[in-house]
Amino acid sequence: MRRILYLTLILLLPALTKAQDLVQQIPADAKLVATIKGNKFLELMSTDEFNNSYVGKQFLNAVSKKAHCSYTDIQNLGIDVHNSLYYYLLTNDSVSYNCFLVPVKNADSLEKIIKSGAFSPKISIEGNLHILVEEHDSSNVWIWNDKQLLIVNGMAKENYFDRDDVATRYDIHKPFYNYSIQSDSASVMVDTAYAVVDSAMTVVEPTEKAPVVAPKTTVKKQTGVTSKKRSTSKKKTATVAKKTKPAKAEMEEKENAEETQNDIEGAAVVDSVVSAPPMQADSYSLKYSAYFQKKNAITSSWTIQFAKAAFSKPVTNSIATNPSYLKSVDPAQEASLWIGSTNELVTSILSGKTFLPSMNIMSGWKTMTAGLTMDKQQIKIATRFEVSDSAANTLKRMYDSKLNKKLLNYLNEDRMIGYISYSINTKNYLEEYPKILAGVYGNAYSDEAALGADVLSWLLDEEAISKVFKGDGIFVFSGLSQKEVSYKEYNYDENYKSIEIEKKKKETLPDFMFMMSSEDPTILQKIINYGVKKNAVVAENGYYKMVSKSLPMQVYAMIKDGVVFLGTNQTDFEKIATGKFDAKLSKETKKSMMSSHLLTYFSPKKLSGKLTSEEIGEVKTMMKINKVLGSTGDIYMRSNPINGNVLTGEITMDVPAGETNSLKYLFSLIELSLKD
Amino acid sequence: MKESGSGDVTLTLNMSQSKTKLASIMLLDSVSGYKVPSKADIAKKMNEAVDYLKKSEGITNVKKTIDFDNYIATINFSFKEVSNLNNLTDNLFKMMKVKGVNKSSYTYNKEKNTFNRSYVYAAEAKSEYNKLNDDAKSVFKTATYTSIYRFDSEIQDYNNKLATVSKSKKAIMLKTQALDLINGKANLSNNIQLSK
Repeated sequence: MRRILYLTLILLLPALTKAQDLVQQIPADAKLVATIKGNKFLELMSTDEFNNSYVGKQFLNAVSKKAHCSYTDIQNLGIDVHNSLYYYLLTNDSVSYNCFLVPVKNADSLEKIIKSGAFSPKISIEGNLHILVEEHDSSNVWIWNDKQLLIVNGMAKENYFDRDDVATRYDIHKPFYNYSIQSDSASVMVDTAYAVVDSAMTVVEPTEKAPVVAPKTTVKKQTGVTSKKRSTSKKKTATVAKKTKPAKAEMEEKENAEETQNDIEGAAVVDSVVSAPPMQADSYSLKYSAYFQKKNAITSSWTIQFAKAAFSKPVTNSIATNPSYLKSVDPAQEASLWIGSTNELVTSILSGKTFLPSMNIMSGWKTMTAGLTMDKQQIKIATRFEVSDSAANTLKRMYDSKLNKKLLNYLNEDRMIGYISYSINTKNYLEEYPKILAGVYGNAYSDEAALGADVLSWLLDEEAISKVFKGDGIFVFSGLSQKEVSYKEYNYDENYKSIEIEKKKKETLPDFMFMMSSEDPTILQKIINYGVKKNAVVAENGYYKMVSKSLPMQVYAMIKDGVVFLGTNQTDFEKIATGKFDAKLSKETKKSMMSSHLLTYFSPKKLSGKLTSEEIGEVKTMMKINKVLGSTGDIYMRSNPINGNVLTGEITMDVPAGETNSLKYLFSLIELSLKD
Repeated sequence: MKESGSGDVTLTLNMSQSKTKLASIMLLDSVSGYKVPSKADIAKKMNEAVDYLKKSEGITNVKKTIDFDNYIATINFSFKEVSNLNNLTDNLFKMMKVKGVNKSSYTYNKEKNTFNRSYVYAAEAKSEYNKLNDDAKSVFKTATYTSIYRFDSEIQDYNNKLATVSKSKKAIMLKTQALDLINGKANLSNNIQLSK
């Protein structure tokens, strides 16, 4: 098996390096990689077809408007639309980098768009590199050459700066909300200035913490040039803090900014100073603003350094050498997503939030992949989770259940606009759930979590609950129907005395039926009997009618042959009670329901025409909605039983017969819904 | 209103026509970004309103009813003199956190036997309405406002053309669309001359 895997990887590698060359630029320690394959989309729709489509025209118009230039061909935007575009995420204990890697076809055209007003025109050139630091957010950095464009958004982790050692190292202290603290505004200004001065130095930090930034040697070389200049500046501002007024300090800041504006770190720094609010009064918000700007300046310098390093040094260990990533590559997919370790990624993201305790939400959840395929018959998003042995055992126990076949006897496919069928093992689920909770909160509150789990287990009689609620059921949405509803209004006699009258009107209400298995429905029967005694429920011929006026619609209930029914259609209840229900279900649907733990189906087409203008408002809008619904294919979402340590699922949308392909069909749907 | 200037007020909010929708909404925690109050929350606010009225000068016999089957709420109270009504509804709406309510003040001149409602449109009503999403706006499409004043004496004259007088000439009704009030198209001011 392993040999087959290696053989597959060897066969895939040349394809990757040739067709998706930019993947070689993605470091192997990326936590997440998303791919959009331009060439695959172009197989379904040529650039000419895109340019002439409604969606394409809207897109090009939007770009033209932003760039103040007319574009009629997507190929003129400077991006290599025939190649793949990537998003990847790198994260460590101090910062996360969201990276978009875009293949470039014509750097001049690309730069023209960027320069022409869509974005900040301040572009720095270093060798063959063009660098832009966004003015409004200096943690967004654009860097490109004639082959690729990398857009990086750096996000510093809040709790990293809360660490005492880090706060001391960068002299960045989060202010506490305390009115008694008073300090002059100049010192606040110095804080900001210091962030500016220190920003070049701070780029060393991530290299110490994680390998996601440029090697240390590079950093030293680059920061060495500016560090002298900056240390002088630091001295200047420190003096200002002691002897001069804030206005002068601000001037000094501007001087610093001018001195450094030709280098990119300076651009980030200038940005943070210029955007600083006027510091007239000493207050928590001013201090927090200074803290925030200082943090942004540090993040910005890290991001710039990271972006430059991505171009200056070839990636020797790219994601294309990661077997897990390679295994996820499917040439048939139009787009894909790969997460190396779901638990690691989620934990890493959550660990940056100061307001959350340390939690293991996805404990045991390993590699996750998702892929989009668009063929002639359907659009499909397939997902695949690999889980640890322990998580697999938990999931197997929780889903150790099959849908009760009896439920299928009460389904008529012709009357099903949508449904959700599910099956879990209630007893196992209740037994496993406290353990999962204990695992999630175990890091932060190990004793409390263990105690809570035990108390929950002790309170719940899993066996008894599972007898009442076996864990499987089907919810069917069978449509909308007009029902007569009464309401109260006031009439006035000739002397304007009010008379309360009851009026009736038609309302469109949903029809549904919910069914679930119960091995021992005694307690449910007792509840119904109690309702009958209290006149909240009325016994009909074999079923019950709820008479509560607080329910938005008439609801019926029934228990028969170990199945509990709850629904709105009286005719269905009469048929079930008398054993005359006209069940109709195709073999395929039966098979799908029985083989999935969760299956969701929705047919927009069947809903089309059932919505009235009274519900939607305008007739024109109603017609449009009905038209879109009538043209939309059936949608399915399913989760399959766990196989070994792998959990799979998929979302699909059928493409109606006669359509050329699913992409063109999707474009036509968007056009239908957006066009007046 | 009696000749002495005292009288009784009944405020009724009838949402019965939308009761199915309201019953559905009440099953949810929030809808379209708005928090849905529970029945207990609504009852609490009503009790607060009643408490406020009980403490208000010249106001007695305060009673409330809430019918959650039909979504009709009423508050009844008596007033000693017409001036006791001024600012009453404004403050009630403030308590209910309803913004942009148009302001009214009432006067009764015993000598001249005139009853006057002075209504001032608040532009905030429109701006608050415009902040709502389309779904929420649609609620006001069919909403109406009805006010009826009853007197012991006959009505001789009135100056609001939207109003109509009853056969007995002792009651006057003004009915308008809620949207007209929101948009400032309807004016509720009325100067009523009663027979001496």
